[in-house]
Amino acid sequence: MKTFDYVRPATIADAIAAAAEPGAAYLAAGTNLLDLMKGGITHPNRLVDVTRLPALDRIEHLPDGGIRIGALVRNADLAHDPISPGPIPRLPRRFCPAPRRSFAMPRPSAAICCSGRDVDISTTPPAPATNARRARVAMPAAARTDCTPCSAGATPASHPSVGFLRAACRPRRRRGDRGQNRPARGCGRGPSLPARRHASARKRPRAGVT
Amino acid sequence: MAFPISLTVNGVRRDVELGDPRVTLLDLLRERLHLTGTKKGCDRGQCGACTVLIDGRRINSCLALAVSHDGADILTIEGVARGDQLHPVQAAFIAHDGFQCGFCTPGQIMSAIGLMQEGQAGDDPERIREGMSGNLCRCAAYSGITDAVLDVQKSLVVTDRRRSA
Repeated sequence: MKTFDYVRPATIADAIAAAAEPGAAYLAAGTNLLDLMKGGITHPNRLVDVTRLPALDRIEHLPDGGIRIGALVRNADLAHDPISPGPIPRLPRRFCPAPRRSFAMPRPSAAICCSGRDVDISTTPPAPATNARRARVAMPAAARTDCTPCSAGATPASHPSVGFLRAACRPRRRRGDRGQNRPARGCGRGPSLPARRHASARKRPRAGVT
Repeated sequence: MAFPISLTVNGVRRDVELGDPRVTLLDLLRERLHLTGTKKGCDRGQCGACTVLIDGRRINSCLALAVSHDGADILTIEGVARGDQLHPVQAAFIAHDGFQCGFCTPGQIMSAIGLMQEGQAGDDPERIREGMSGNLCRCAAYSGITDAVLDVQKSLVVTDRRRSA
């Protein structure tokens, strides 16, 4: 593993500033990042440890029916959170992108690298034929902890969603659906492959470890 | 550049100065603190042999940077027994043959303790298997492992019922 500079900023603004340098990466739990670094797949010059940033570990219900998931909410917490009775019944399962064998590391659901992008995906309601219980939630690409830091200079003031991602309902893709009813991809690539595999392989709520 | 950190490991405060930010928590435990009960299996977060509890949560210590866990309260396999009195999970692993070679066992036991603290598995074998699925056992002692965890979970459930009654 290549050596790197390690910084632990105390505020979101400091974190964004520290990560503006080329080759910097945010470090939350590090499960993905460290694995990639050990494999020589990614080699950041600087790690910006965001684990101590305040107020990013909350799950909030918004007045418009959305759910705001703080960047430091751990997947295990999200999976166990009773947000499911609401409009997005399967949300916890959709945020279990890790292969099942890797559950032991609770990892943040997103890094604050969401900051420069508009991750507030459209809150398009499910298609008429799709009832609420079938609604699925897209996992934005921005939720990946290994995405590159934002260089757009976003600040908490200019982007209220800095540090957060908002998920939206989208219609379930039915089995055998060849694309005609396929929902438009929300933000980037949609659910990760393990999440998709997971969703199709399991029919009952999982135990909730990630 | 040196990174001084302070950890509480098995109830004992340890001050360590890291010369390199790349040191993982696993290497720190094994090489610096000589707590070799936590095993290095794959070193890539896939086998769970390095599972420890940080602030009550189970994590793969091979994918945790020590410097990032400054101030953390860490429980390793060395800290679960009370003197000669085994932790109930340790005793159950012995009683149910929950291992063969034993290399994965420290991680399995830490994971089982973490699972119980999470309170999500109950006494459902399928959920226990799901909850323990991050810990691989090359000897395939899964049956004994599940039985051991189930045994302890059932006794906990009984205790809880008695308390609430």
